[in-house]
Amino acid sequence: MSLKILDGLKFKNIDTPVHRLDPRVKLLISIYFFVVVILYGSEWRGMLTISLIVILVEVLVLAVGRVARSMLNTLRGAAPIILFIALLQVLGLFTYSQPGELILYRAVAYTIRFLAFLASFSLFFLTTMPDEVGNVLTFLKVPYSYAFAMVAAIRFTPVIADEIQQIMDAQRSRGLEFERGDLTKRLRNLTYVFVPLIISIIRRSYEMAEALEIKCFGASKKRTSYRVLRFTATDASIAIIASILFVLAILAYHLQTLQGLP
Amino acid sequence: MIEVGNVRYVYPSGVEALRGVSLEVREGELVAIMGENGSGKTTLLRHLNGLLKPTEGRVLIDGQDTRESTVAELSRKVGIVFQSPDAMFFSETVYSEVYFSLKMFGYTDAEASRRVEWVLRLMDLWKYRDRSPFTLSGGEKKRLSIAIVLAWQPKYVVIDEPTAGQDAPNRKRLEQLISKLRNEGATVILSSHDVEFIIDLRPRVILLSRGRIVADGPAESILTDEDKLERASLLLPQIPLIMKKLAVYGVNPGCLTVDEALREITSRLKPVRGW
Repeated sequence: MSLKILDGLKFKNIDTPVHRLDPRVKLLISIYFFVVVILYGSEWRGMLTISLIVILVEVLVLAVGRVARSMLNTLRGAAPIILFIALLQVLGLFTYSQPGELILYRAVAYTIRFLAFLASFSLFFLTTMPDEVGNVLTFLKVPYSYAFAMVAAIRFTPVIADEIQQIMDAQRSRGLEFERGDLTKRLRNLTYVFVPLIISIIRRSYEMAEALEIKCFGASKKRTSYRVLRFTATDASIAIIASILFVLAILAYHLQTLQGLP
Repeated sequence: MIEVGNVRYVYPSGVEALRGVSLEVREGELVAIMGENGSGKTTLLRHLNGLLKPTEGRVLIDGQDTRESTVAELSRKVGIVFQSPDAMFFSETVYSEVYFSLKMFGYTDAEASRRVEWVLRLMDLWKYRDRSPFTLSGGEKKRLSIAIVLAWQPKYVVIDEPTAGQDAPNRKRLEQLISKLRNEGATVILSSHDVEFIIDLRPRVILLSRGRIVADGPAESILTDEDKLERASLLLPQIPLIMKKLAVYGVNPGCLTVDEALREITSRLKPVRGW
């Protein structure tokens, strides 16, 4: 059992043009991708075309940000879901009397669409420091304590993934079988992972609360930040280009330019 | 016999934790794997019951390749006590915590009950049998995690950092327990950077540094050798240190324990009149 699916939330501190980009711009672009992919959801109206374009751009950005490998790990972890989506469409072959061509189109298009969807968020989280995510949220007028909770959640996801692995290792080492045997038994054995996990999470949250109090969390109303977001000319130009492309995509949708395209 | 043959291990993150480690542990041996934090001690121990499978090379437990068995199967022979005990506890009581593993390994109810009582008395935990494992103190938790593993009497007992976070009485107790296990013929493998704890056990010492074995030999020759210890970022224990400084007065520097040192030093001193 692998927890690689959570790799998509692990931030790696490397210096690339993508990492240097203002997180607000990155969030904006992620939202653009997301909206466009959602918008083009009808068959034979460019769903596949748009999803493919989006995914190509996303892959390019991920490659420049040198996080393509982490993304690949996430995809590998999400493989069951992806397969399920594809399979669901193929199952249609037996339920409705529809041409096989359409079924195949659906299977491919929905899968690609889901991948584009998944990558749009990973793009932001893989290349943005958790602290910067917090900065973006405070910029969006989210109260700091909520922003902090969000940041902590992001930061602790990989920590908890490690913890699950550790607990599973400890239980396997005392004779619990996760690798062989029938599925129901293996699933039942997972309950022996949850108890230590919940206890450790509760304990960790108490420890964190103490650490926060020691550091006078929330003592001052107006909080300054070590890292201040700075909007540079590069950020502005990228945001403008992305916005223009986004508006074009929306326009194309309303004018039904892609009507009839896969 | 445990055979580790030229094992290289690279973590998925790309960190190469073991760079070609070979060693053999024969039955009845007491082995201490020593080295600084990050030297690969824990990574090596996790190979012994198959939690990690070597990237290159192989690990054989009594001739059985760890890659061909599950961790649960290997654990019957190789019982590992982890550094942090909390990861393994989930039961309501200390008693059922130990009982659970025994049932996992297929013991009958009667045999399992007998073993639970034996091991809890051995570890001085019988009085806590109805308490929740989570309410025990750090030292008691450690003892419970050892008890859980000893209960099924694995042929090889592996303890990762036995003294981490343990106070003096607990260290003493652990030392006595490990000596007792050895006297009863068990094979014990420890990992530690605590030279003062290890020296009294007089084990075979394997020094690990950056994923490589830099020395392997009896405690007498390794724990008195400042150069070798330094390569594993360890300091000379206090008794060998003082004996080394006294060597210019003609004492034998090869002493490990207080008693040995005392005998060696006093043999050269004249008693003061009136005492």
